Amino acid sequence: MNTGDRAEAAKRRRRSGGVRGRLAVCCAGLTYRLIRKLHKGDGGTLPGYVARQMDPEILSRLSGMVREKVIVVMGTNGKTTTANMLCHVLENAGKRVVINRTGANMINGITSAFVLASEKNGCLDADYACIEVDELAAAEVLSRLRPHCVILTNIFRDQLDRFGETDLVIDKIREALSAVPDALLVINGDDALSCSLAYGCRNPVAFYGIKEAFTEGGVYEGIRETACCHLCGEPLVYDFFHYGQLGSWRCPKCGTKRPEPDYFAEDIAAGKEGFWFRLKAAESEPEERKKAEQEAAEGEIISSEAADAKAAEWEAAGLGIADTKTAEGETAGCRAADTKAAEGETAGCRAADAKTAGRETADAETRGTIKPEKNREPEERGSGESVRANALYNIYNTLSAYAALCAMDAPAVFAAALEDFDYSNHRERVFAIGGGRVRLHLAKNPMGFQQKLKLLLEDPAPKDVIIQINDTELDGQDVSWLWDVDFQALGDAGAREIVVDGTRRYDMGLRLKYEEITWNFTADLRKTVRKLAAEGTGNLYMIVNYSGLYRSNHILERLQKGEYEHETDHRAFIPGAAQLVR
Amino acid sequence: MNMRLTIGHLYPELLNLYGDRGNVICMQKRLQWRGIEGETALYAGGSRIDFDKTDILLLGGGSDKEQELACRYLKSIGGALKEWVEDGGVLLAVCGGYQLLGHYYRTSKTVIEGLGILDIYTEWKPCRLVGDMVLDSPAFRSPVVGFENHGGRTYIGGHTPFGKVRRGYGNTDEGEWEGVVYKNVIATYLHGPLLPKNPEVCDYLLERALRRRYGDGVKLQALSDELENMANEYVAKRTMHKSSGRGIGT
Repeated sequence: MNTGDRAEAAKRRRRSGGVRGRLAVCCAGLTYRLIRKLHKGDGGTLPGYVARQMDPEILSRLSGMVREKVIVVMGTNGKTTTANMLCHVLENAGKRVVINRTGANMINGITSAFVLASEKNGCLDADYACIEVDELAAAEVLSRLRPHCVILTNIFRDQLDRFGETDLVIDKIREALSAVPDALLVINGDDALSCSLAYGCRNPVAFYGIKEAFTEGGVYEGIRETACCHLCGEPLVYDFFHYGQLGSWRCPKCGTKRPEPDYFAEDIAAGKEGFWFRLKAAESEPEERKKAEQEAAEGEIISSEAADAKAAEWEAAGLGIADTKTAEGETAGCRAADTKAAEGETAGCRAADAKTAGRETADAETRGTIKPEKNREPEERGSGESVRANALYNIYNTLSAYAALCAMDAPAVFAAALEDFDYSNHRERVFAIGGGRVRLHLAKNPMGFQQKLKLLLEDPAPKDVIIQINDTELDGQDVSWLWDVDFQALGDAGAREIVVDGTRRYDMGLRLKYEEITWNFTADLRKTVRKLAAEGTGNLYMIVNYSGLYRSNHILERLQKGEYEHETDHRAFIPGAAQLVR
Repeated sequence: MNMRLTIGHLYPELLNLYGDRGNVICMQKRLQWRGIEGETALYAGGSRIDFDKTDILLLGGGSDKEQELACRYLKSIGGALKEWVEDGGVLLAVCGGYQLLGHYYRTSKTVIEGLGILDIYTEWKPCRLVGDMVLDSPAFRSPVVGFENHGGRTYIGGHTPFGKVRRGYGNTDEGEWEGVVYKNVIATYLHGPLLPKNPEVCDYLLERALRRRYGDGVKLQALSDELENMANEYVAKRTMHKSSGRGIGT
């Protein structure tokens, strides 16, 4: 269905949400207001649950009302940032976007986002949907959302008590994708594990990647998900890699290698404020290139008997190499993006401008405000766009969003839009407390944690660190992954005071003890934060996992407002806890 | 006497699924804190292993697919490894590593032939056994605690189990017995960093290895394990207070 047809169909559907749809939207809205009124959380999931009780088809109904494209973001790390960035860039171009901004990425959370963005008549008025989806919810969600595009950011180990093994995550995603064979897959080509998924499904694919080696020292090789070729089992060779297993990989035996990216980042320069880099689309015709590449790869596989047998075996198990149709489908999207993107952009913006004016006030309440388009000419497509990201992993996130929008022929003016983009999604917030600066970071798996430690290493100023590790259902009950993180980096970062907290503080403490890093427990997190912010180095990092985020945000917000100031500072630390450490 | 041990981690690029390397770090530090030198050797797939110089080996866990790959390499050293184990070599085999010591592991897709060092076999079943586990083991004062996450069920025949399951599943769905102890081998489903929270188990392995090399007179000096015991106690208490583990359906 082309965009015009789709818009027509959406329009027809939009005339009525149906009785059930209206009821569902209405009840969900009531639920949301009730939750907020009673301060029982942020109302991210329950409204969706209620709506689905009223109308089990509500999600596919509302998703069908989206006028242009539905984009799904999956992967271990970077889902929220990428979805937020897609939304930000599209809104900057004047588009109306549905997004599950709170990171509620299971079916109820996603349904909540849709119903809360809908009008009382059960209709949705949106151009785009940018939805992050949990890998385990994918099968249930994708068949209902019927996305045009699925971004896969990366696959690292994460919450293995939920997922079992990383390979099982891939199986889940593959299963979900089989229900939407036309959706364009946007894949991180630097991740051999994600690529193995791309080769194993029938969807059209576009790859993105970082073209050059630039990593400046201190690379920890511990957490690398794919040591071996997924086709023939031979250990992979890396020409260079950026972090984890992300880099330029190839198999010396069967010839499988990192695909030439259709969209890439280059001219990366590390500076004080992060990384400057250039976003670009490949110049050559992807169709011809990819065909040639595929033929080459297939030829080489056939030349190796062992690999061939293996491939046949996998083929039988439903993991076959993508057929040629894939290459064609893929290029349709890419070619269009290359040539038409510039026009599409401006046309989209103009139309949206007119629309925006009338609607802004009515919907500001439910959806947040729509920003007017930036008065800036997009740079020439050929030379790409120069943009900035605050951290290495955000180069990938930016790139994935760029690749998806270009490939979808959607507005993709990044340089201007990103000027006021907040990379942090409320997960990396900065607070001013007691004259000091407190930075709150979320880290919920080893790769995420390692990247946060890298940020600490890159900050030359003296610092204090609080680490909070919980083990609720939200966090995952298995904290074994703490031993996959190289905490020597924390020692090297020269933290003056390290405080450990959370239900698994003993495990965290043990981890540091075995790196011979000195730390303390805290008796009262609030007091400790105040003490360190005011009397410490004035540069406090707080790293928490998922369940601690909401409470920490709350505490830090109130501290920033100057609450609790009447309290006297005593027992901020548990005295003598440090003596537990040799 | 200046004592020294070599600790090898077999195929860390394949078998390090749940922070298994924590066990190597733990052993190495607990030697160092006692003034004993502990050298760590990471053996990548295909590398030559000098068994005469090796005191302790760690065989970690991997996904079914990685295990299949690791098995190819293991096969090439199988004979020497078996000899070394029979000679009292100290081996900690965790999760996937445990399964590979048996005759075979029948997964959902294929049969992985094991080393046959232990007279055991493993069969995959669709519901994964996942959760905290607490064991009573006669060799240790504290309960042995950790986390299990496996699809395979291991049938240990006449072997001595590592412990009696108080909470969790262990070798099979019944939740009766867990792991195997054979000569100086401990094989267990307690995955990842099992030793930091169970310092007695760590010292048991270290002492065995030291005695093998330096004679039966070796005795390890005690360390302050206050924090280790707090971590152990936290998991034991928390696990005993809730119903037994849960599975992940696939």
